[in-house]
Amino acid sequence: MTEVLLQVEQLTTELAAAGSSGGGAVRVCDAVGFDIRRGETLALLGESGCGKSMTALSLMRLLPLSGRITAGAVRLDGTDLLGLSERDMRGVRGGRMGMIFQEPQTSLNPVLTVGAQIAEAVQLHGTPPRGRGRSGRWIQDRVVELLRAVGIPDPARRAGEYPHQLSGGMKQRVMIAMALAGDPQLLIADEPTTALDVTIQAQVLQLLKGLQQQTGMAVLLITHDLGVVAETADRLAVMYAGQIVEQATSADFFAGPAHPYSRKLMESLPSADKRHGALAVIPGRVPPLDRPFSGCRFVERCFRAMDRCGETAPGWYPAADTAAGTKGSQDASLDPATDASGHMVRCLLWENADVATVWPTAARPATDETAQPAGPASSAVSAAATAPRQAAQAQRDNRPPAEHPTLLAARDLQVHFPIQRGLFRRTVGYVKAVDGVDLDLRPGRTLALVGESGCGKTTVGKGILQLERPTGGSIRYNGDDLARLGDGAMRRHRKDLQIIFQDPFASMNPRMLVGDIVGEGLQALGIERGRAARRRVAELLEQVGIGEQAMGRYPHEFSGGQRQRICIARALAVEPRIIVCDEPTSALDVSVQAQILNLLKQLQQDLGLSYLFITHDISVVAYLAHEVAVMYLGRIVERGTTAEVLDDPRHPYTRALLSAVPMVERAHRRRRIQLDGDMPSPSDPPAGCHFHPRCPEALPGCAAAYPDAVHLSDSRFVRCVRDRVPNPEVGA
Amino acid sequence: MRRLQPVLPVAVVALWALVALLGPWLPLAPDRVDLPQILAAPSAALPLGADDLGRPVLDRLLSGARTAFVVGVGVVLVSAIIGALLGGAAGFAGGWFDLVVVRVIDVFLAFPGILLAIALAGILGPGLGNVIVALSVVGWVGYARLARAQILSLKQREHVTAARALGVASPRILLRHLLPLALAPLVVEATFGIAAAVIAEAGLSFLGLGVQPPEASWGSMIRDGVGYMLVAPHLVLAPGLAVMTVVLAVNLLGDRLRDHLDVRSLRVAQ
Repeated sequence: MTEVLLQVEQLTTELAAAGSSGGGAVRVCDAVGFDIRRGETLALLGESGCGKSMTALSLMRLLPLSGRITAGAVRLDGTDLLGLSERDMRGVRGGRMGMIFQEPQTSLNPVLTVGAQIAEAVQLHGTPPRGRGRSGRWIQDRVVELLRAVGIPDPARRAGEYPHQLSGGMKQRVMIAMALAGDPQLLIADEPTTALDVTIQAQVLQLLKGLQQQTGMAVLLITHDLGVVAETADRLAVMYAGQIVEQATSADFFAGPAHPYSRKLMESLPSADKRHGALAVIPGRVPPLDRPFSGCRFVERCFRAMDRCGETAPGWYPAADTAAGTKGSQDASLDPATDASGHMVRCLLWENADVATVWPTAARPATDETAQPAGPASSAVSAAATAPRQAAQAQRDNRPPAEHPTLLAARDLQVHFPIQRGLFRRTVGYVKAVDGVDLDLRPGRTLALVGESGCGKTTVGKGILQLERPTGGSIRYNGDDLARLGDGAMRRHRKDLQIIFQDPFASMNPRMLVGDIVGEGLQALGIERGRAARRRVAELLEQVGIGEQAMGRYPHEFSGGQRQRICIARALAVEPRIIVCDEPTSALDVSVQAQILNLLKQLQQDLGLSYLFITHDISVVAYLAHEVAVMYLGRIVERGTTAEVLDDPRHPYTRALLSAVPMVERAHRRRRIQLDGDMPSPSDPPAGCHFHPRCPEALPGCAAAYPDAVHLSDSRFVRCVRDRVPNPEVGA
Repeated sequence: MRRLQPVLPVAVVALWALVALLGPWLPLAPDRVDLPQILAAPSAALPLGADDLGRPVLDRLLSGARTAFVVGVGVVLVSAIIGALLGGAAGFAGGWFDLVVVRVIDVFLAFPGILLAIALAGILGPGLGNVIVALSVVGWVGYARLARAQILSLKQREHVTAARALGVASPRILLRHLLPLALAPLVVEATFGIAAAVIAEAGLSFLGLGVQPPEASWGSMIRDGVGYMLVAPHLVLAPGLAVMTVVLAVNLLGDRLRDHLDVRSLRVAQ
């Protein structure tokens, strides 16, 4: 067994309460304990507000001013970090312990070159080899060496550039280089890839893994993404409401999570297997942490809650697969370090039980809602009612798309933004955000538009709704070409075309009451007025599961998921036929995402809505969409039914994109196709096929012309020269 | 952490407003010339003494408070309304209208404001109304620029896009979805604007471009008292301290208001 590097025991951190509730402190970490061994990756998993980041900041002693560590011990390789003076602690930070953050954009100083910023870290924490002084020359060499280590091409030149000249992925690499400057024993990575695109995320995770193997450092990875954990962590700890509720090796955890919370979290992940049922949801929200708990913190949301759970705080119990072995007594099991490799869980179900009694149905979490142990709060949708509908839905889904009538058809849609420079704002070029997109929306069906940030997928959605006026092409709807309609004529169609945004915080006017927000469309389009309008708003709020008492409240009184429901109600108010969903769940936690996806699916079944679902999340696509269009740099490179595209991707970009998605299920993982570099700027796309400079399978002819669409079936086309050949050797 | 409640500034501003509004009904005799009392020092009968014509300084001070108040509030009302509407419309509409408004704002900003006001007051002649006009002509640009910047950033917000998708008409979007959100910084700016207008009015009156001579104004009181500063310092001190107290109180209130209305701090508190 390898040696323990970091030992955290009973770490308790409090924040002075800032809210109007007055009252006591908010206990953001409560008796948190875990070990990290040399060279290993421990993932700290949990939803937002569970105390993950506060734990990391406590380890670094970088808490906000109102924060205080009230109890516990943190030992790094024998040094008690909580006992160090601030001066000594400064030597540890960035030296023996490095940290990288979620947002590389804001973590770098925009007015200094990246080289200077790394040099600062080297100056403070670097150890020159014997015989070389801490000279300027050595520091410069070391900076270049670090940049090379994190995979930045042409490091000597890049060191002289400013953060704004680098892409997001590059910036995160620079942050990693800074963290590596002191040769850390432990790297704390706080959601290091959450702000990055999936192919860039794959690059960064790969890089971290490689560096870990080279240097033997340990990594504490803080994330909410189960896929990332499954692919990178050796062990993991699940946090809930300031406590660690489960600790296990990755393999054990994904083979059978023990805590009801972990289980529900896994089941709420969307995936292709679950597409004919509703996703599992966790009702309610994380409890406020400013009061003492008498029992289990999860009891109110738990589908297996017992009477005792409300009164008795659960201790640590081993979640062994076999009934044999001693069950840990409460006092001995308080310290998880007693058995670091064991599977431990904080749940009363496990007090005197083993896996067969706790999860009798299967060791693995069930993939289907109907196989769930029945519980009062197991799902918003009753399983019995959905079963026949699911069958009918499945049948409908399997029909080829051509059998569905087309509701809206975009042909050669273009949205170009002029680039203006100089005193007289001369147009010097165009950003071709959308450059010739064809798509069809059909009633009752979902078309997913997939791509990385900057590929123009949001602009397509806005172009269809005429919120950005297209500069070319046509959008046929109901006998009109929307792109040619004036504002007045367009207003007649507004009723049928609605949009839901990514950020439910920004998409509602904070100074308006929820009732007025939802009713605005009714009033603006003159559909209903006065009492009838109010009744309709109340109905809508019921329909999205909020309740009519919300009408007299302001948006800020609701949680993220609730706000997104209100936004959905607002869109539904005018009885649209098409809704553009622009990443509606990206800002939400997994369990809340499941609620929103269930709701959208339900509404589609009940109302026959057509969705244009814009997303970068492949698992959501697999769960929800009927057809998929993959976009790269303003154009659709591949389109087909969900099964066609996800099971047999033909375009090299689609293949790379799918392979980069971190998957929980080992069986679903693909061999990673690493893409180098970043997406080029849409103002100056590469000649010929836009993807060829990054394409692992590029042919010499790719730079000549953009390939035409090759139709492989009624529903499917690919724009790649390789598919022009009748029997391509590659891709079989 | 609870901030100290601004009791004193509120009291000062309330007293100022009260005196200004009730002025006509108070038993004041700011214009009563009493020659034997020329340059009299403060006493029980004359709490702040008398000026070079024997007029009671306290009465003139209270009457001057009304002038300062009318000018302060008047200038801010006129310039904020004109500025917010022009700037807001420019930011919302964009295009050539925006271009013209921005150029006009730039031209006005290129001028030293108080000099322009002096020139205008000189052309229009002294008088309360003309002071308000002169200061408003200079003052609206600040509000216009602020409103335009606010609207420019707010109109990119998704709730505005959502309203457009729902078919809400443009004037309604401006009045319901944009201006209410831009209001907070404008209100804060207006508060500071009151303080600035009080000082500007005092300045103009000091130069003889303010209200007509018999009427009292803090600026003209200081001007009249300057000649007797060594013999009768209360003639300068009383109006000087009055200006300082009022401006300080209004500014403190504005700071407090800014903390209170700041949307960003609200967002963090969630």
